[in-house]
Amino acid sequence: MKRIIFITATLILTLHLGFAQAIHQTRSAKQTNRPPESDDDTITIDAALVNTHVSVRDKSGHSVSGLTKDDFTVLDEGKEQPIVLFSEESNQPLRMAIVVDRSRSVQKVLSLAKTAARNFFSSVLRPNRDRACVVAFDSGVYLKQDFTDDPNVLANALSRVTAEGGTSIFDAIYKVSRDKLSGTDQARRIILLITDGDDTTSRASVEQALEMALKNNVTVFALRLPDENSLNVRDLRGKPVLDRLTQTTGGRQFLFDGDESQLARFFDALQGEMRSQYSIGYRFQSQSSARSFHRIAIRMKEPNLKAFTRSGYYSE
Amino acid sequence: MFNNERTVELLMLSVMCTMSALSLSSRCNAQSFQDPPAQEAVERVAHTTAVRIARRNLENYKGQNGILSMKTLVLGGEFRVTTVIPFRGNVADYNRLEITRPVSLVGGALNVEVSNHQVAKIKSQFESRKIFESVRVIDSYDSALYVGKQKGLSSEIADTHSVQDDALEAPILSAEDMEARDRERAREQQEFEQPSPRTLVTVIEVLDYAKGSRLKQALPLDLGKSILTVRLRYYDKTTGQEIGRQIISGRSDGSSLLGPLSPRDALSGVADGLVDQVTRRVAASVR
Repeated sequence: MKRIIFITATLILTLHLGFAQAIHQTRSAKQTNRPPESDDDTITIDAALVNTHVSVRDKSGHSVSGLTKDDFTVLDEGKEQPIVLFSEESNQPLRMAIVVDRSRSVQKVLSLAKTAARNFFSSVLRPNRDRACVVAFDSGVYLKQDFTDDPNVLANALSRVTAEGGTSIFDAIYKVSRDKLSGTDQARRIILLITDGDDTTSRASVEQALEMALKNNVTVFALRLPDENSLNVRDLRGKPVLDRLTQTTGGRQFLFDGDESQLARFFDALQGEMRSQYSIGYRFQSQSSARSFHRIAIRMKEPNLKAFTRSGYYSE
Repeated sequence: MFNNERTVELLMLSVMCTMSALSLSSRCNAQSFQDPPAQEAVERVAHTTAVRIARRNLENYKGQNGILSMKTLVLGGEFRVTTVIPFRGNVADYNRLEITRPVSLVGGALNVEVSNHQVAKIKSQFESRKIFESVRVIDSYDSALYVGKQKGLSSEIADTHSVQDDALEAPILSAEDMEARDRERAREQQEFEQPSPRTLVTVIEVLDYAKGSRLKQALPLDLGKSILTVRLRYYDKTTGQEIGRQIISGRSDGSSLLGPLSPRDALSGVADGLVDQVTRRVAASVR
């Protein structure tokens, strides 16, 4: 009797173990056959249209117009890209934000420059097509005049900005790019920053400001005025920061240390720069779904010319 | 007629005081007896003028000798002063005085009644001298709460608005916001530039206390001494900066002419010492 019980128990145990192993093997097989779920392994190919604005200057720094797409070579992450869109910028609508520092030195100059500013707006803004707004900043950022194409309204808004403390340049670039210059239309987006260049109270870092500007394809031009507290007129404190802001976005920095006539010349130079810009578009095949920064480089076939554009863009 | 310049000044001050009081009261005329603010204004002007006169009178103030004075020889209650940190700054700039209730560092030996009695005595002495526009008794003063406040004030003025309004996530503010902020800044700047009344705070810490016994003092055994030793810290209330520190020790042992019958004790000595020391500094600054 004992032997029968022993043999039965052994059989049951053997069957149980065999069944469990079979279930395990089936599960393993299922797992092996399942396709990978991780995003990291996904390869998506997306041909995105990348559009960038380009300024071309000769060796003496003058803007050059009348070029064709054959004069340019576009590199995205070092790889040459065929140009699919090319146009003179003057055909595209303009969205411009004049971002003005409320520091005393800036206000002193701007109060004298009402006529020059009005002339600038009159010549740059085309009625019913281009628009500009005026933003003032100290430790905060304020919309002094919303978008309009009326040069008088803009010039008045510019001359009525009063002096106050604090300087939040990066906050101003960040918020203006985000709130006033974002959008998907093909308009040229420009910030004209007028400051003495020393950021003291920003919440945003220079990197955050640049990222927001690049995301919205905003070009930053800067007019740097000397700090009135500085003993050295050519005080260089703000220069590296403004260099970075302007060069990374494809803009340019001007130094003002003269009188009203110099300011008028600055507006003329800026106007020339804006009129002779080019818009270049290309399709770049991204092999990653991850959001990443792509470096752009534009080279001129003519060795005496140099192209200036934003340093890159963020793929979505 | 008046060959003494000071007398002329005092007379002029009195006349000005009377004129301003009359002017205020005539403006209020019918309402003056029923209008408390007008009445208060008159009293305030009168009191301020009285303080000015009292301070001018301090020019010839001579400090008390805590041990060898007629008062201590007859009534007892001598005091000694040790200056730990000499006074800094112009004490005459302070037109208000606040005195903390004595903090006992010797446990429960100094009870609340004695503490209140002591501080009331000091307050009444200062009030009678009229060298401060107001004398208040406060429970405590923590200088740490005030340190650096004045220093950071001007930068705070530049940025007193809501931090949330300028947060990176916040939208661009409007031109109206800018103007409102400018008005607020201008108002704060104006307040900052206006001369505000300065307050001298005296913190009293009791280092030693013995009530003493009149009965034992009557015995010729050198017993029953009344002793009070306090550490005084003087602060500028607005900045929290300590401007001076002293230790005053008062005692009464029945060795005066009146002996145990004298109404003065160690507490009286310390009160005299404190009032004298502050008055000396004010007088020195006035001079």
